[in-house]
Amino acid sequence: MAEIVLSNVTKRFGSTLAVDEVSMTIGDGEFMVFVGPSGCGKSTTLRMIAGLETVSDGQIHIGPREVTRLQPKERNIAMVFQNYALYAHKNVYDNLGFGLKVRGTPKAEIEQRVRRAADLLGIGELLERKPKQLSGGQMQRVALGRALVRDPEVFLLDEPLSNLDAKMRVRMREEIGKLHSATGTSMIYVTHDQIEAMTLGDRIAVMKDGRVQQIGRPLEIYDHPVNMFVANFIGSPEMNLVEGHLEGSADGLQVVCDGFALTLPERLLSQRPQSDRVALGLRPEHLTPMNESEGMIAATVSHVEQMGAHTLIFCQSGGTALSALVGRDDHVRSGDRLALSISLDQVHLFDPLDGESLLSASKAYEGKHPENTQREVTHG
Amino acid sequence: MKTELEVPLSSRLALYVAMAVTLIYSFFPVYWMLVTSVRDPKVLYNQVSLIPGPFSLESYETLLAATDYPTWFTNSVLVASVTVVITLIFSVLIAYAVTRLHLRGKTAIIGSMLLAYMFPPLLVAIPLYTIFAQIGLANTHFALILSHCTITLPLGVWLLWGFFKQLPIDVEQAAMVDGCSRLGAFFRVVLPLSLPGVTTVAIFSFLLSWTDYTFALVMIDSDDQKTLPVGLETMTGQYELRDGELMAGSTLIALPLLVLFIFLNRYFIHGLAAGAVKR
Repeated sequence: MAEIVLSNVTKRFGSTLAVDEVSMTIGDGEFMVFVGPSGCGKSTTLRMIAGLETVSDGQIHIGPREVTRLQPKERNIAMVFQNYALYAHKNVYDNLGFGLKVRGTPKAEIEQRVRRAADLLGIGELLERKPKQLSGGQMQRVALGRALVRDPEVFLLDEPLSNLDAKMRVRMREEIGKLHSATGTSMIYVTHDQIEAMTLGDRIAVMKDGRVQQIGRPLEIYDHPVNMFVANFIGSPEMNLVEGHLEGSADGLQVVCDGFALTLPERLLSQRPQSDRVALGLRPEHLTPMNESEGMIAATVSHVEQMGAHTLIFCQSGGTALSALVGRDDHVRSGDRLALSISLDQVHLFDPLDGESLLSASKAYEGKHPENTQREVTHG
Repeated sequence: MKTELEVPLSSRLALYVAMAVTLIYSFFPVYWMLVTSVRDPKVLYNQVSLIPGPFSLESYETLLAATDYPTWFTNSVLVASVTVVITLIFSVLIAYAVTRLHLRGKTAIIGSMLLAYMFPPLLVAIPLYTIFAQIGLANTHFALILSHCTITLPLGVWLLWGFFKQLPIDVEQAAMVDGCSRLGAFFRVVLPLSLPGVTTVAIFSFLLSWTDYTFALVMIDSDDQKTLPVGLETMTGQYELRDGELMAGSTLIALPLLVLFIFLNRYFIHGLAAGAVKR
């Protein structure tokens, strides 16, 4: 187990900047998830930690050692690849024991550690099989076992579940979570799936265009996204982002959108936007249907998706399209009129010019929990 | 997943007929070689028949007793084996480097490999002979081996390049994370996984070298240095028309190839298919 420290880590491929001065500390035994869309630099960052990509600038420390220029084999890390990367010519036992054998571990100890890892992952009966005789889930277990058996300082997992079907993904997600609890080893997990990130990570680093947008605990990021990208990327269904403008009123500030207006206490704002234009962020699950007289947003239902326990309602308020996730509702139909309400502490407000949050809650939160939440300064 | 198309009966019949014609066309010379080699030489020219017999091993006995066949055989084995070894070493290294390293003009390197096949062997053999003569290598097996490599090496690089391209780089990187150096990952993981490709290159190189006539004719002068195809050719002048012995010699030339194919068939087919598929 070890702490991992990235200091201004940068990666350039020719003139393309893939990772731009990423700095963070991943605690000893922590489960950190890098999440972001394709091409955001999350896998490249992981591969630099593994030593599979050279670092253009910056430093990487694993524990007390600087490993920036070390070969992968010298870093005492283990990695699980997206396509499992099993050795097709070796059986499961030899796949699991390969890393130990290469490092000259005595046979008896290899046997003991391979059996222990196999038992932990429930693949004890597969040890004689070749990888091509395994299902996707079994292959993923073997890949995890190969990492586990080495007892490394850090586990690196590069989208390990993306090749599995939805059910198996949920099962393996649970197993990876249990594995982390059982071993207590630091883990860095790369995914583009925000649900995986939310459910697995002790902390999440949301990345975009090679830069870390926000680092924090899953619910901190969900509740207090620092910019429009994070707000939109984290959460499913995605947040409603509505264009509007600010107007002063007797009660505070009024956000006027096409179809409705919300009045916010002025204290909620940490700063004024660069212009009067703002982007209002409303999570679908925070919008509640009310009586027409009580609701804040009058809307007409345009489409309904029944999801079992929940109902996703798409509606139109003036020129604004909104979606609302409500409890199961068998009666709502297209064309129905309803009124939506939202608690003001669940409203998000962004400056549409730079995408930054204008709410003092996000800023104040960041300041109060520096050990949990870090925020990259967006370069202008 | 279903990978076969449903074909109407008439099309299937036409396919079988086409296959049968192709098989007969390809295998008839082989059949005729075998039949002639074991036919009694006394009736070889007056009982021409598709049906084998009367059987006799006299052609083989004469071939082995009256010619330098054992010397030619030894020379062929030596030349073909060394050609295979040189081809494998260099084609594996070149193909791996071209596949995995960031090299400028990769495609040009691979494309130029095929240039060797645009010229007839004789066109390459004569200038090569001049060069070898100038550096004192004329009439040596080494010269013949080097000239065979001009054909086998590009083929080897081409086939293995196709093979290495298909191996996911993650597997090598997993080995590097597991504790191997790059070279270690290559020997412990890449090479074993490439065995079908390597086997294919070995068989093709052996086949090209073993059956080569043109290069051997140009490079080798003395009888004791000759390889089987050129050695057998001398029989026609020396003993006039000796079809029985010629066919017996040809059968013995083909025999090692047949054995090679039988034992390595599985790898060979897999290697060819794997090299042909682009993922």
